Amino acid sequence: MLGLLLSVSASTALSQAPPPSAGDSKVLPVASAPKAASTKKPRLVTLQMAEGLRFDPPRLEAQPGEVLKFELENVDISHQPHNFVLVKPGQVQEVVKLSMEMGETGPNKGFIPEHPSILASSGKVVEPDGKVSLTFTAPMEPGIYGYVCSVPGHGMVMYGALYVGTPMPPLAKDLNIPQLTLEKGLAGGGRRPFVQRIFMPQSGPASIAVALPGSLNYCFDAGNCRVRYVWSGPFLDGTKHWRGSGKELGEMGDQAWWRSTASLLRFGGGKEDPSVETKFLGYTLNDGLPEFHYRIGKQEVFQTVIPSGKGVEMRFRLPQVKSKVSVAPDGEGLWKCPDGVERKGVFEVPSGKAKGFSVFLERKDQPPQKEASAPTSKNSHLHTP
Amino acid sequence: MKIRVSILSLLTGVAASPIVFGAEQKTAPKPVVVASLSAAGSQGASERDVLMAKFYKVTEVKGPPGVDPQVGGLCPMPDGRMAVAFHRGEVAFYNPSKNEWSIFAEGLHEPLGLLNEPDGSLLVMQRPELTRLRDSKGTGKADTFETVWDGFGMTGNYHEFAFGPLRNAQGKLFVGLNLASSGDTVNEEVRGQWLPIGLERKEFYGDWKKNSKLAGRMYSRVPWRGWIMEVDPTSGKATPYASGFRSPDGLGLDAEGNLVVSDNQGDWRGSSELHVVQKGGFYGHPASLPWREDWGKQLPLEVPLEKLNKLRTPAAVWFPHMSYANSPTQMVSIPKTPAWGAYGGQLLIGEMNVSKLLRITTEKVKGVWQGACYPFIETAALKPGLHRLAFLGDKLWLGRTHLTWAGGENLGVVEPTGSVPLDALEINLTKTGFKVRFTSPLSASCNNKALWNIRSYTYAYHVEYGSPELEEAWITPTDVILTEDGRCAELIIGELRENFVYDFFFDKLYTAAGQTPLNIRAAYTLRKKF
Repeated sequence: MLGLLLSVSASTALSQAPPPSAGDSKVLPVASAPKAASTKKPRLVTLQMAEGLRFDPPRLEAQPGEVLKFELENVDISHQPHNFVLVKPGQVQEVVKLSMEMGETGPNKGFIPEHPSILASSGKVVEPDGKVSLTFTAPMEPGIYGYVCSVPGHGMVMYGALYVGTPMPPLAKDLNIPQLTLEKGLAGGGRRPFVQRIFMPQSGPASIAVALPGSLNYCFDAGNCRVRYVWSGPFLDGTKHWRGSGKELGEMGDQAWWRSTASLLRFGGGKEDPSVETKFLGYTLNDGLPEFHYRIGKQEVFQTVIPSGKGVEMRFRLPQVKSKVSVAPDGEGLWKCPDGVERKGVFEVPSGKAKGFSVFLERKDQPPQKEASAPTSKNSHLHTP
Repeated sequence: MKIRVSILSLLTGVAASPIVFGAEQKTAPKPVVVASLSAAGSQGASERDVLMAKFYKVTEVKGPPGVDPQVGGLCPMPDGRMAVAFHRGEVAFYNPSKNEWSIFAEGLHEPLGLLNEPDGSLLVMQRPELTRLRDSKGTGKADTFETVWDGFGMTGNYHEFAFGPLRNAQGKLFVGLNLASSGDTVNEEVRGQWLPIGLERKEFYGDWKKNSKLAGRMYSRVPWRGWIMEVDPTSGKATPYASGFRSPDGLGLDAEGNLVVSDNQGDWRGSSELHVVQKGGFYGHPASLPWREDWGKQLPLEVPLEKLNKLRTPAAVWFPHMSYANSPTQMVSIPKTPAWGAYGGQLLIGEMNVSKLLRITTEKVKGVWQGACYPFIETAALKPGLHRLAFLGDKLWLGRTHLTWAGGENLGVVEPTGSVPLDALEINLTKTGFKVRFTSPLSASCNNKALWNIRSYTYAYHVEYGSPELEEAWITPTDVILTEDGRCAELIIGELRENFVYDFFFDKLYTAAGQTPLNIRAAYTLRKKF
């Protein structure tokens, strides 16, 4: 069986593939693949086995008869063993099925079955953090050759395609590779507003990321019931979190420009009492915009954050409030509270207005806005002969 | 979930899948199949797949476009739709008659269970909380996300999955909370009270490669990790129900309404297990013990084995690792309908690593729960990753997942074709051995005791990851008595050993017409003799 002939680190030509011939009219040049058929030195190709049952890259190309040296690297941070099996066109699922039927012989053979469709393989499993190199000659017959990890339970998801002398379709339309591995995990696919619960940096583990209409975003921490930070620009990339098992955090599109250190609201006059317990009660969506519902001590609070000018408006509803509420500005930002009276840096909202009031937070020290046309004109000037 | 595939798991096969997680499969020897059942199949299908197709039809349902098709929760709805929760946080309804998906909710955090309520709302267990989703405006989309219970701790460790909810006949909910894994440390900020017993908090932020070994392979440093909790759906009040779990992905009720919970092979789990769970019980993994009210300051890893053995209730059923299951998932009760015939009322369980479903039966012997597991449907058409199971009428829905472990994606639907295979239906312990009932009458000549082979072995209860099969012995019954109708065989066994698996091989049996068993093995876990 060919796969077994290809011992690890050994340079082996596929016996099935006829030797490359310069005059072979069937070999069509492929623009993007190096013309290696004529050279003896193998082309180095790094192929990683990655977290979330993925090959990276999910597809490769080669010239017919080209000698390739694969460096197979198991970089899967979830410490799974993987293997690599390259098969004839259309044979991936057959090999996966056979690997499942290997039974107790599987582990000793690296879960690589014997089958004539197998053109090359890692010969064994590649241990976590391990590397295996493999040299072989691409088949002379142009076609789409699949590669797969045939460790049981991996092969339905973890596969890719080697295009030999065959043009590749656009990546997003390539049905020979698992499309999921390509998808960027942009939360909400760019829609605004959007709410996404996910692990967030510098916040508690029960975090909720919110994309507001426009270009602002914030992180609400359901653990201590407060907005933790606000950032501008792209919302959130969850790719790493989602393609793994949750070790990784969501990635914000930009740095936060405001962060809180404590709850904004104080009841019963002034200083924050650290013993006051918060209780998260959930949220409702109004046209996609969340209104968070929680309790600080016994006080029930509803909070909506909406874009306002260069910052955000935090709208509070406290339907059962009976006394004044203090709003203690926090972190770097410009604060306004039209319903409150400022006293020593704290806004006092009288009981009569405390049932519904707003606090405005504006970004401080915005970087000076560059004129949009300036760099463009400069560049065009430079590039104009 | 097993995460670290260690050398041990490689020796025994493949790493377990983690959510549930874990185990690799040895395939049993192929049954000798009578010619009429092994007619040449389609190209590429194995003999076994062709045979299985005679009895079970498997079809495929793709998840909604643009949605990562890993399934965390399934819930059949009274209107005939299936509610499905997906990995990145979507909950969607599938209408089988129209082949249509509609998205109900988005943005949840790793939902791993769904349950409908009489008023039309849906409960969903996500990583941080149990949430009630409600469409209050009748738009077809959830607009209210009410926190029912979030009173459990989170360290941010990826392995702290949350499973459930399951509702019992009294309307109480049960959820299962995973232990954290030493495959990673904890976040700077955690939710809930930090348990001071164990590796010092600051060491969690030091050299983790080194310190992880001191944390325990799996650890519980915030409340109720490793516990099954009972939650009142109205008040949101939660009560600790049972401890000693590692990765309780499967919560189910047997036909009598008993709570059953599956757990995955790993540390303190010689093989994957099914527990019949009673209030106050401790089910073996010590990491959760310090959250007991009566617990002092003892480190869970320093509790003497003797004390653990006194506290714990061993598993009712072992799923022998590799040969039966690697990573068993969720249990569901088979409907008592003509379509499922004699299997009605038994439990089904899924499996992550292999394309296989098992049946389970339990019984109480002298007050002790024990029982058997039976390979049931095993065909490539199922695909691996069989994480969530639900019956919509007579159709069995399968929701697949993998995360970073072995598994699959999208959904499968299984229906019986109406042909009844020869199967071992149920094994019961007797005073002198075992009684095995079959779906069809055996040939009278099956009273030949040479046709019956049983292998017995046990597993160690220890901190190490998994256990080899120990003290193996092959048994041939001293006598076999078939009932007159041929449907039940009584096997007389010399000496029975408690806390052993009795792994039955039925490959030599046949009916009068020459039909051989569709599945050739079954494993009874004997805890208590009569």
